[in-house]
Amino acid sequence: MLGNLIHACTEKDANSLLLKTLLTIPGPSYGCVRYWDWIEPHCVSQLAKKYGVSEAQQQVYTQILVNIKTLRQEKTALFGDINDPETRQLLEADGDRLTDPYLVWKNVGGAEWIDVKTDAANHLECGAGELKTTVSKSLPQGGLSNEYIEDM
Amino acid sequence: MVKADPSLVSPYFDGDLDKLDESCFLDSYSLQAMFMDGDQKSKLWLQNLLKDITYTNDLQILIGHLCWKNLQFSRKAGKVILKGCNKHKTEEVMSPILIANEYLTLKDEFQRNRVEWMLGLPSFEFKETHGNNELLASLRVGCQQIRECKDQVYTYKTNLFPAAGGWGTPDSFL
Repeated sequence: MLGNLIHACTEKDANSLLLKTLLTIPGPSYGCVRYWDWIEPHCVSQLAKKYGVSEAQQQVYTQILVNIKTLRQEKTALFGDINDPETRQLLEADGDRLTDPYLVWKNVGGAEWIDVKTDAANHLECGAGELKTTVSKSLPQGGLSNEYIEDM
Repeated sequence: MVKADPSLVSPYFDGDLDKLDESCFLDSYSLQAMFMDGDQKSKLWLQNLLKDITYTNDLQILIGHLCWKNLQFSRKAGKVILKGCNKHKTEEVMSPILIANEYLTLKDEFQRNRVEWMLGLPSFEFKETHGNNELLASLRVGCQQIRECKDQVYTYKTNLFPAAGGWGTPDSFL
């Protein structure tokens, strides 16, 4: 599925909307700023494995890397530094807003509901709550990381 | 009879506009059912066609043509494609994944919607701790619920289905 998604970005995404979305939405873990950031290191690490990766999987990972290289060459402006205002503006024009990477630490109280709506007829209750947490600026280098988070 | 509107000719239609006025090979009920919401048959034809890789190329064009500038049909097709992508058998997954490529890159004013439906919306993960009646106070977020940096703190949930996020909801692409 990942291979097809990158293939679609390379071959069919004429207005780059799909690529811009992947380049702006937050990454799945604290190890990467954007969703895009884990893909290339993951493929490289899988290809470096001596066992456990079939030939078919190797072909998929290799093709993903080839497609990423093509995208970098063809759409250079989109792969600039995300701290550069021009690149940021270009990505956010069609993609999501780039969020600053923060680590969310412990809850420090202040848990309260700020809006609760009830639909008794349909037995539904919807609430928006506020939870105070400590945060710190995160500086992920991209890709995968095995470092343990201290002071859990 | 299908009436042609020249201003709404999708980039996938390369035939003769006049031919659209010819009688359709489908009977009137089947034709209506294709575009009727709430009718099981409205999705059945697509579900069946997606099971077989033989029709993938034609289906890509058809899906592109029907979804172009059509939010309602795009939503309907999105549900079927996403469900197809969540199947376990390799042969059943191939066609939906290939068709999703076309679906995601179809250029019109609703492309953003289609991308969000397929890829899902990023949602911050949280977990409830047991033994605490106060829901908000019992929530664990971020570093509190993971062991390593590489553990997931964001999930990508689709809002295509009514009970989104519930048990049985198909996973999004991401």
